[in-house]
Amino acid sequence: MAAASCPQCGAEIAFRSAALPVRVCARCQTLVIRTDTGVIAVGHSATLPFDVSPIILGTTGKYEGIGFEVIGRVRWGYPLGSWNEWLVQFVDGGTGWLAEASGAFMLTQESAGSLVSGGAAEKLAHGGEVIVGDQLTYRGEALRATDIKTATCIASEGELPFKAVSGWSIYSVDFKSTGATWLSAQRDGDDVTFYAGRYVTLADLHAANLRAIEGWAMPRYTA
Amino acid sequence: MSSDVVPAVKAITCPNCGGSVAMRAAGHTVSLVCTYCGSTLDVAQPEVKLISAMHEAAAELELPLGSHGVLRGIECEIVGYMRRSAAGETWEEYLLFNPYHGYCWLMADDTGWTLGTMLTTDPHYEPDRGLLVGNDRFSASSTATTAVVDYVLGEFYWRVAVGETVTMETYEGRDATLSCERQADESNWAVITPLKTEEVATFAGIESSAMAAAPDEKTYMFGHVTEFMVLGVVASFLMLCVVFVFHNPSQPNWKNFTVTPDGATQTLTVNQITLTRNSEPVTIHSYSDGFENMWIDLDYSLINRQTQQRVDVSGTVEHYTGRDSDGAWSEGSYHNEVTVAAVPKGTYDVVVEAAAHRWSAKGVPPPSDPNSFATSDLTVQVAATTGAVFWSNFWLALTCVLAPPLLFWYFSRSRKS
Repeated sequence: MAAASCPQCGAEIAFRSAALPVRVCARCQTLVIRTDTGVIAVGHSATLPFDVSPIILGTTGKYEGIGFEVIGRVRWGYPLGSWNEWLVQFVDGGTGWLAEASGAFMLTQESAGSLVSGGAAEKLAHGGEVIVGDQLTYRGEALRATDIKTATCIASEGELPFKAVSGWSIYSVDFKSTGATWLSAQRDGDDVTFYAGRYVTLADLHAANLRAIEGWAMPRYTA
Repeated sequence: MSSDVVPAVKAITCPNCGGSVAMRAAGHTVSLVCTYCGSTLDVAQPEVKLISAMHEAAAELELPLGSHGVLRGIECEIVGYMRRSAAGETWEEYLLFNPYHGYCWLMADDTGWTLGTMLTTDPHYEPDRGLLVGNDRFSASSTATTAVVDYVLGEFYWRVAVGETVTMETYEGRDATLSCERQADESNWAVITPLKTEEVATFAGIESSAMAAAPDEKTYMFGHVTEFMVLGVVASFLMLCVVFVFHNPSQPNWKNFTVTPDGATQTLTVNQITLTRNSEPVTIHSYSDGFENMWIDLDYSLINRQTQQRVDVSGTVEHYTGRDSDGAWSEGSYHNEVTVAAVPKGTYDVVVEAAAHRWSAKGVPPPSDPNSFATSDLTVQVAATTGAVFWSNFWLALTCVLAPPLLFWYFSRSRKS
């Protein structure tokens, strides 16, 4: 880990890898980017609003046999609600996102754009608007657009692969197959990123180091 | 990593009434209905917005918001309440939350309590097996109905509004029901399993005897009392139709003869009757009048012309009058009807032996009108007809058909009250 000081408040901050160049200062919520020449402040995250999420930075688990740890979070909002995207670092070096919405969890991992084709993918690539029911094909499976929204970053924390400053907006479309596959497409300017995965439960993930919440028994999932 | 325990509840100040309302699922809750004034608040953003202002006291719920306990092995808390209706039926839905497990539904209707859990993957459809959730099969049990929200209280992870509608379909499985709610382009599937009243009482920490309004275990018949009643009435009507179709009486062919009071027994063949069905009822009618205080013994025989097998029955035409301390009285009937339930196929001669007798008793004065005390011969009319209605059987069958629905109707009413 590379150690540095927050250019804003001087608190010590550490960077895990070059793949995660963004860090939110735990003390002053400044977004700090590591560059070849040092660290620079690029923006600010608002204070995370209170929620009863059972996930915290440091929560661990296992997905498809590979251990992970939660190291970052972006809280997204849109007019009808908000949700958390927790960044998970796998022990094999990969990363994924544990999405937490309406009390349910979904684990997705970034997927190459070459695996995605079809009408909705074309619309996304050319800046078009997707409508509910539009289809695309992912690894030979047909998926339909089910949820389309413009999401705005409310706040963020921990380590991140991108600059998630408060107020940053992206175009987000969720696609669903008739099976268990979910695909989330996020467009920022001209860049489209796909994340594929499925619904999970904390029990499926053998989640540990969860947040203790007053008045609730913390479940113990056997690994 | 923090080992600090965070509070579970956030206090929200209602912009309409200023009341402090507990928000139990902060981060998920989008709509909150103030428990003091009933106003709907939008809490999706940090600043609380008033969606619709109300000034009405919250309904008294059978299970209060904030009830916290263990249901089917999972700790959960009531955070929201909705009353919905569809096709004249009303039911209640309690939204349950656990920060580690998410949401589920506790529902109550006339048939009992059920637990609903959302499916994250749509059921799989196979043409020859129906809808599949894992290996559990479900088949359509009702046509789609429109469900409307009649009342809301507490907090929800979506925007709630009274009057909002969804299209609802249900599918029955062996141990559970599958429900699908569609709205615009969205469809939400849930698996619904029955709960015992005691399980709900234990969860909410109340005595199950205190849950008087809640029915016992889910029994499908109680949920279909109306259909059951309609079925009973239709069955009764069909029974009546059957009775009239198969009754099929032949026209009586009256035959007259005379008998002398206290005279000789008359024997004569009065009729011939042909039965075409394997087994048919035969009714023999007799009539005589113009007498008092006499009886006519009638012994009938149906004699099969081919086999000479006979069926014997007897009847009596009798009528008496008199006067005692209670005044004038009369008894008996000038008409007599005898039915043989099952006579085998064939052609029969109807033979009657008739004998008339005078009746006298101590304390019965002779009639004042000598004309009414016939001394001359009596004319008797006899006829045999096929077909008969055994009304006692009909009433017994009607009771059997109508008793179950009436009992269910009665019990379902007493449950509701």
